[in-house]
Amino acid sequence: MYFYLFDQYTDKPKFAKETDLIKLKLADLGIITDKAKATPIRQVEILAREILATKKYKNIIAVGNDKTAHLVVNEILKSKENVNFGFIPEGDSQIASLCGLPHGAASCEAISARRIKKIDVGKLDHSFFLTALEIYLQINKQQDLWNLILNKFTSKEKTEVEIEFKDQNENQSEFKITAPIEKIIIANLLPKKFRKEVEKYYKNLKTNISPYDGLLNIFIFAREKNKKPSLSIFRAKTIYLKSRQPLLCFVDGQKNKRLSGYVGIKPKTLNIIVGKNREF
Amino acid sequence: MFKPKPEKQNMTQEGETIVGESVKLEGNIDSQESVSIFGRVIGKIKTVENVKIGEQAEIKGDVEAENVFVAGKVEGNIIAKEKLEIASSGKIFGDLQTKSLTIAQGAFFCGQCQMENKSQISNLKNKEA
Repeated sequence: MYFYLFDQYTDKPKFAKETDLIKLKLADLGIITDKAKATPIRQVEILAREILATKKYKNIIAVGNDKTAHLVVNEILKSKENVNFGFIPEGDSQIASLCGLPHGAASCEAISARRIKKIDVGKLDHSFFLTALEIYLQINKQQDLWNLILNKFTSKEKTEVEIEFKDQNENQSEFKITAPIEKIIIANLLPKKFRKEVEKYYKNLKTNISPYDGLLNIFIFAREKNKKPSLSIFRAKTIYLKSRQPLLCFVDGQKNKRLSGYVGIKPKTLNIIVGKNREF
Repeated sequence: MFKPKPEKQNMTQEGETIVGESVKLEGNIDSQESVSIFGRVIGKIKTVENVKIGEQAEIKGDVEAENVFVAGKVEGNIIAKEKLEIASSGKIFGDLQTKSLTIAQGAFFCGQCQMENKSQISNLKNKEA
């Protein structure tokens, strides 16, 4: 049994034609059982929660963008139901290209083929992420007096972040690193735009990250004053971030205000329908 | 006006741990993959693969790996199960234990060295006798 969750924006004039094509293709393939469209009141996450509570469907398919996929995946994992997650992208999508799903109606074939993989998901406080976290320091232009005094009398740079690593691989190595951070990427799957950034620093670096290894890949872009920027790469199961400045975080490309500092991984947790040209 | 471009490092492998130049690491690294150090490390580094210590790198602690290449500063003992190479910019304050050792001209080494291949040593002794 399939349930299709159409995001609110899919009936906007820009996407309406593609949405109709998707519905036609699904009917052609005979894999449309039930569907619902999100509204300003019944948003995607609420709809997903309601559908999961019925325990009627084995496959929940999100039709929309990366935000839609992120919200539906979170609801599936929070519900702890054993359902397969599928995705039909409309508009730009990093998740779709990683999963080898073509744009729009073309991805209906992949849904029909039901090629299912059980992959890891990243965990940030009480929410989950499929691809990556992008973390920046939130530096206010108007500094308060206390910060100015503190920066004058401490050797630590304002942008310094401390990261504690636990359970690296199976050897239980534990360490902490301190660095003046420009950006941190914590990835379960590495989208193309991040891959290009990483490849600028190291030749022949294979950036095809496996979502089956139970490890997070951490890319730390650091930069000291008057020095060239550098990139550090680690793999770990759990990390803790500590910073004097608030951290601004993007989860699966979506802005997320809260970041307590803990990031972990849940191995082999999500059943996902993938395409032939997937990158893992 | 223009941001300086990052310099591309030459030696990289799949699944490698890399400590970048501006990074300070405290604690022990115990890894199954190659480790490259370009920053500062206080602690022990142990891996079943290779360790590369870059020119700007500083390590205070022991290093244990299959092959070790040192172009930076190490204050601690090094055990390389196969090959140990010290570049001209390399500085080592500690003891070495390896099967094969290469020291470039200009390198600094203060400590004792023990060559591990006992069969080779006994063959040499027999020839001298």
